[in-house]
Amino acid sequence: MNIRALIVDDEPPARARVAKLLSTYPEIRVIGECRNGLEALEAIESQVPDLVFLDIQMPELNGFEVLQQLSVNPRPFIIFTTAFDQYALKAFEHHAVDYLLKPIERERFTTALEKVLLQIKGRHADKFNDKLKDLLGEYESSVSPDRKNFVIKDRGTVNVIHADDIFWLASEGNYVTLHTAKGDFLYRSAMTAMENELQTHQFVRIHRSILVNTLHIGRSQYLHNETFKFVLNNQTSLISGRSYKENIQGFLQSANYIKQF
Amino acid sequence: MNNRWLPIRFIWIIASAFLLSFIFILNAYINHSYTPNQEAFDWYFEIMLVVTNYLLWAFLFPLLYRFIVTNKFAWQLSFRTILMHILLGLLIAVFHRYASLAFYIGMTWSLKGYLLDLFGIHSANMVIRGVISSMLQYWIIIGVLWGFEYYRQKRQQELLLIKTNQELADAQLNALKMQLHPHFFFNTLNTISSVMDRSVEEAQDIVAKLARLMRALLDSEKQQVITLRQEIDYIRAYLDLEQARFSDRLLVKIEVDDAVLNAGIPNLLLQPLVENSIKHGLSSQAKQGAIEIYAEMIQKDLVIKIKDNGKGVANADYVFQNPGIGIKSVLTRLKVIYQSTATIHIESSYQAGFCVIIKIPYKPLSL
Repeated sequence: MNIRALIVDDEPPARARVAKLLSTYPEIRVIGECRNGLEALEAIESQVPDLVFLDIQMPELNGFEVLQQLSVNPRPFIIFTTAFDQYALKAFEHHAVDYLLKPIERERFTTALEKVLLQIKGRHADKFNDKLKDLLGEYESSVSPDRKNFVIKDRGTVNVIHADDIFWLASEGNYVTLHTAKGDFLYRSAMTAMENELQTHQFVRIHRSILVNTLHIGRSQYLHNETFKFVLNNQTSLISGRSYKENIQGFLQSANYIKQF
Repeated sequence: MNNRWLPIRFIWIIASAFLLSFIFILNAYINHSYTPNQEAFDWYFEIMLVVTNYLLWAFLFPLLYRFIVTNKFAWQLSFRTILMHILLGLLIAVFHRYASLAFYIGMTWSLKGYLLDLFGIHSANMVIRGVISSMLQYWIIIGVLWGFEYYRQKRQQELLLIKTNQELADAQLNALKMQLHPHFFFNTLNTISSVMDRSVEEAQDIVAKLARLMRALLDSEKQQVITLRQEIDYIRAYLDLEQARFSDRLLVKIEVDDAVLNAGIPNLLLQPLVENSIKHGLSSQAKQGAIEIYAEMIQKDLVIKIKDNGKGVANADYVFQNPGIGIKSVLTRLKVIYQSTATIHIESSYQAGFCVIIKIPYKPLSL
């Protein structure tokens, strides 16, 4: 039986180490290495490996976020690798998911791999999938808002938008448009849900259908009739809704870093 | 005690008023006893007179204290202040006299049945007779208040000094903790373990650099200030380890003017900033990371620049308003060690990297 494995880690030596450890298993073939979460997501979806060695802390998307976004079925078996992440370790223990601590002990590697090989050969994917689902459920409920990533898949390409990179959001029915330097993206969510998900101190609601990232506000001006004009750093002008006057004033008072004209 | 109305508990002020009253009644009695040809000593009258006098001061005391504490002007030793105290003293003395007199009149009325006119010529005479002694009493009270205020300010300064040292110690501890970040330590161990497969020599180099880092860290507990050369050596070791870990993904450039190598710098001051650059500039995005460090002398200042090619921030002021633990420790240490002679500022814009510029007075450190 030929098992196809993918190694995901942002550190080249760490990838080399796993590849080296795997070289003693003739039935396992390494089909690729990925340097970050985004590459991993694309590789898993296009190559559908049987087994993935997945690092947790990575640029773009972390290990958990990669799994959240996976749409392949059945999911590959995952062995998590991490150097130090107390939160992840607790979650793994709790859900009895296999993981390897870096630096990797050969003995532990062998144990974990043999366990997973048995599962792959016996096709116990369902049981593993349930465990993974629980793990992700816990991750989703505990994810801190300040490292909020939005993943948008559009005709085969995957875009990861970090909350800091959103200039402003506009609601369009069941969707919101995320305006960013990379362009505009449609994201399926309601405005109120977005407002709750995003850090409240960083985003300010200025209109029934507009949420602005305060980091990107260049200047603000009181117009008339209880409305304000906001000019973003990219020169977009936004006009506030009248009923949001108090909300805006509260924000302007707390944020004296905004240059006013 | 931080009470703006009272330097000590009011009960002690009242007790002092009674003690003074007792002394002066005794004085009056002795005076009376040894003066020939007099009618009997009127205990009740004397007691009421003296006690009224001092109790009135006791009640004025909090007002005067608050005045001294809240007006810096009333607390300075200047011609203007002395003039003010003469005029205010006179005013209060007159008020004090009249108030005492009002009690006195009430007393004579209740005891002897005749009512004096408070604002008549007789009363005015009595006020004038007593005004100098009242004014003297005002001055003595102001003197006492000054004593209290002086003591309070001195004590506050001492507390501030203790607090500042505490802050310094905390900031330093934070810096050390940042360095000993378990992530970094375990990641480095992992790098060593991995590189060994490829090249034992390379792995040995990494171990040696880790040792150098640990040694510098242990030394840093002994020395508050080190030379820039030592600090840069240390940063270089740290960056070498990160480079080994990220291989091709991290470019490092360090340019330090020879003239400033012997400059004194708080140990590990740059560490949290470099670590931030790695964290935000490299770990959070997939592209090639670069970090540049420059140090030079500009006029009489040591200017250090730490620059990365990360995502940067859209609003540099925001960083100071919501500083992370790294920037915070640097800000605290600069403030405590250099007060206002050091500056830190950030040049950054969205998607255009992040650059911190620190300016501290150049002071060569002789070893």
